[in-house]
Amino acid sequence: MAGIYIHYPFCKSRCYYCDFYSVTEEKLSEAFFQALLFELNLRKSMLGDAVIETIYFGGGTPSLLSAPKIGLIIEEIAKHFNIADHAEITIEANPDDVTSGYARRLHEEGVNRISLGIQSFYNYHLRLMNRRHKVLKGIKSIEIFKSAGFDNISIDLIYGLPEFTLAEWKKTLKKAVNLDIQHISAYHLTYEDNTVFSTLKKKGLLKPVDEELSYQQFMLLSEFLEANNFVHYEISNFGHLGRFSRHNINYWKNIPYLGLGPSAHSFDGKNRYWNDSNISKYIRIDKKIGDIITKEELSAKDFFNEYIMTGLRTYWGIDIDYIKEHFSEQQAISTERFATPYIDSEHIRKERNKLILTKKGMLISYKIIADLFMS
Amino acid sequence: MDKIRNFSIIAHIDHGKSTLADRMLQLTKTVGEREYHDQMLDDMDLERERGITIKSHAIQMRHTKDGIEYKLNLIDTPGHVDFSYEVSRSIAACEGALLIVDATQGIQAQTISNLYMAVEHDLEIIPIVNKIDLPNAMIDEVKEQIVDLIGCDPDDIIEASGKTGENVDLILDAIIEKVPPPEGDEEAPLQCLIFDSVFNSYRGIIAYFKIRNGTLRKGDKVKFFNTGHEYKADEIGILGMTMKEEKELRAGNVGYIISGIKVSKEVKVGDTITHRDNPCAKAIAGFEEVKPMVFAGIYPVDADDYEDLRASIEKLQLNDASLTFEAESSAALGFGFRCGFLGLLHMEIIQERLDREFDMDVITTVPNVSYNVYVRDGSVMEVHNPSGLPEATHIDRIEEPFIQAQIITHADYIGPIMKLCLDKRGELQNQIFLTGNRVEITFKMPLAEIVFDFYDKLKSASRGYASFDYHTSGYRAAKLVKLDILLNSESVDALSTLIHEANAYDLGRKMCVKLRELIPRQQFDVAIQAAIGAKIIARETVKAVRKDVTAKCYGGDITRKRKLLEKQKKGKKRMRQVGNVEVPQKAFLAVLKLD
Ligand SMILES: Nc1nc2c(ncn2[C@@H]2O[C@H](COP(=O)(O)OP(=O)(O)OP(=O)(O)O)[C@@H](O)[C@H]2O)c(=O)[nH]1
Ligand SMILES: C[S@@+](CC[C@H](N)C(=O)[O-])C[C@H]1O[C@@H](n2cnc3c(N)ncnc32)[C@H](O)[C@@H]1O
Ligand code: SF4
Ligand SMILES: [Mg+2]
Repeated sequence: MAGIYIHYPFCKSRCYYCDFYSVTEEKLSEAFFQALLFELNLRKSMLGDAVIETIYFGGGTPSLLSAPKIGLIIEEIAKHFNIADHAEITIEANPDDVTSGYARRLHEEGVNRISLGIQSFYNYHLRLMNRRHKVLKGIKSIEIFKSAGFDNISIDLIYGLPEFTLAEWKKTLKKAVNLDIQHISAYHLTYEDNTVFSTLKKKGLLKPVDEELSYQQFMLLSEFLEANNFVHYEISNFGHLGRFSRHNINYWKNIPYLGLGPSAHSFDGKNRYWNDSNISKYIRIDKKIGDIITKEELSAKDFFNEYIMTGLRTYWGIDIDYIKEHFSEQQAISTERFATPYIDSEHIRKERNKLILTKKGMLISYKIIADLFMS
Repeated sequence: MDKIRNFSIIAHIDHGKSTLADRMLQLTKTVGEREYHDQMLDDMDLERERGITIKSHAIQMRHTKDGIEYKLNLIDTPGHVDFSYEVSRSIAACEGALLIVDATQGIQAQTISNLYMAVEHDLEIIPIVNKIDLPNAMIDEVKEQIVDLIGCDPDDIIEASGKTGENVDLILDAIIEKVPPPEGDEEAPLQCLIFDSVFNSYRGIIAYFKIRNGTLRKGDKVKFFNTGHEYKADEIGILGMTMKEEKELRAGNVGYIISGIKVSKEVKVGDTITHRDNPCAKAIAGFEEVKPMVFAGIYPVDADDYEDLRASIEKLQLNDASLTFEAESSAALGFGFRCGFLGLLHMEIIQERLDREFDMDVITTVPNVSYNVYVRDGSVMEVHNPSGLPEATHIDRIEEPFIQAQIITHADYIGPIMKLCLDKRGELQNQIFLTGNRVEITFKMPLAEIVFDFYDKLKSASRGYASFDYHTSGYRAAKLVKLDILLNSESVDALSTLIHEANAYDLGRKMCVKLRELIPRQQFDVAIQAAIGAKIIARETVKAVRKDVTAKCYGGDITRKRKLLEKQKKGKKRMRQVGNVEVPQKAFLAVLKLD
């Protein structure tokens, strides 16, 4: 079992909050495409003969790639690998790029899951974030995908924006639920270094929402979506049963994945690799390869810490018996010891041998995860 | 022996001792041009970085005058008040001293106190006005101050510049002419005064000494008078830029001895070395044991490092006889040591040396002075740790150490300085107008008051134009209370202080405020309280964290997130658990930085 991630590093314009790697020079797109096929051939051996369970086109804005190109990439993957019968093939789409023709063609090429960058149902928010689309186009694009036959649609939403009220958030969530989609990723705005938002924040021109409001928005999010048939299966992810993001879940379960494209990450079961975030280097990948990839072998401690980190973020939590078995008895004991104060304060729930973050705990997941790490 | 001159340099801090020493080393070709760098003798990184001398340094130079070659043993000394004991020891090994006064600053508080030490030991004083190259040098005025102080002839004062080297040759000549050669009998039984010792990881303990009488040869069987231990003189020699081995050293010389000593306690600065088989009749009157003035707990950050910390402190003590320590333990910090320091700079430096030279991460607790506690049963206890205070009902009275403080400043700043000293419970003793508009003010005040933020306040009250010196001057009864800090109702022993009743409320409030800033928010509210006995006098709350960075989408980039959180975990290691509250290490010193 394995996954493949393709990073398409181009956007028409950059959103002010975003620090994902992408450039706006779309003229390099063709060269990227060639380099991508080259990289796939070069690195396919990393996954051996594993069956490909998930393919994910992320970005950047992969919906800027034409449907035939998407098809070619899938075909190329199929040449080298066995793609599972019910493989999940996702593309991140920006609403502006969505036409009924495009949606239909994607469906024909085998894409079966859509992650739509809706972000907000308020135009003033979309403007503030420098998004290309407007609210109506966002809603419309969902309809288009549905009509094209997609039954696994996810939308991204951002909350915790400056001056975002609880009432607005409640309306947003109601709208989302009424759209009859299967999955929602809802992210609290974070101010990432080197983004327009973080500069504005430093200058005092953007004021982060206060903690109490963040807290209430998160609680509302979780409670409201749970009341509407969504499972809160990871801090920022909600899905109907059977419609969770398999690709992301596999990341957390240590299933190997091959990441192609600049800034993409890979994992072969023992080592993690990441490609340089540099498109001009990437398109010369046929000349020099060693240059763009960094490799890091995971130590036992790294494995443990990653287990804690990915496990605690999900509603499956971490398993004390698993720690005993895969790490050590001692480690299991100390993990429980570090967890105890959080169990007392109801940030962690203990269910038999499992430790799971409560809603309150999810809100301070960084602190708890760091605390439970091996030092 | 008549071709030997032993001298030291005394001055107020930063008046240019080390710089002048550099010039002398160059002029006498003790260092070659290529090996030369500034602050030659300050061989600790810490000294070079801070531009201050912490330890005395001895070095031998050769200088020819009228066709005769002389051996000049120079001992460079620190200027800061905390290290005046180093000065006193150097002085004991010398017959003369250069008194250096900065031409732009004039005589300062420590010029005077160090001078008095030299005079007590009958040292020949060679007065020098230094830094004459500076445009704002007030040569005549400063010469007048020197004449007023030591009564010398104005023509005897050498005008020099350590920076340009001007007239440094005259200084060398003056040393030969004026400083008397050491006295002593080369044939008499051996009598050497140990004035310093250093630890070397390869050679063990190296003791520096001056030979008063007799002759020491390599291989001699020697005895340390006070400790009674016997050794073989494996190696002896003189101190050039590096150690230079010699076969024998005669009376009057300054040198070093290596005798395979590994245990720091065996070498006591001030002890006398003599021959085993032909010992001298009595020891040279050694030094008074330096008394630490300020005490604080030093604890390893990592409890497993306790034994290493002990070994490190022991080694430091070798270089620094003024550092004292004894084991203690704290509920909040575990096992550590109560250390005695000469002052706050000394404490800071020890902490930094532990970090640099021994790679020891330590937590230092709130410093305090040593109190005499008179117990009802008639006994007296020396208490230098708030937790060592007997129960209030058993105490008859407590006395605290007082100091006599001298401040020299411009007349313009008398007002603010008076106010500061009175606020610090000082009593004005005397006020003398010196030359020009300079004033010397003498106060009696509690030592405890200068432990907290006195220097910074003095500096701002005088815009930097005040020099300060002090010496201890007895004990006086004081109304002291023990101020406790509680975190979520648990008292934190390492944060307790003994404080004068009148200041307790203010300090308690400020500590709570400061701790509120320093204690990170936790998953529950943290109540910070200051209490005297059962009475709560201040309270602050650190509100619980409700939310941290809520996870955003990070795809397959698991490594970066992990590393970020691992860093956070590392930061946590620097925290102490007090009850259920995590307290950052720096909080334990927080009270020092109150305003
Ligand atoms: N212009 C000028 N500057 C000087 C002279 N002598 C020393 N200095 C400067 O004065 C400062 C202090 O000099 P040091 O030689 O370190 O003083 P010190 O007396 O050894 O200081 P401590 O050991 O800390 O007491 C340095 O910045 C020197 O460069 C001089 O003759 N002229
Ligand atoms: C890989 S990104 C972009 C996908 C696609 N290009 C788009 O814009 O729709 C996936 C999602 O992460 C979220 N995101 C990115 N940066 C964020 C930030 N600083 N704070 C909160 N959410 C963020 C956005 O919701 C975004 O849609
Ligand atoms: S959020 Fe999406 S569209 Fe906006 S800059 Fe980031 S990757 Fe590009
Ligand atoms: Mg110096």
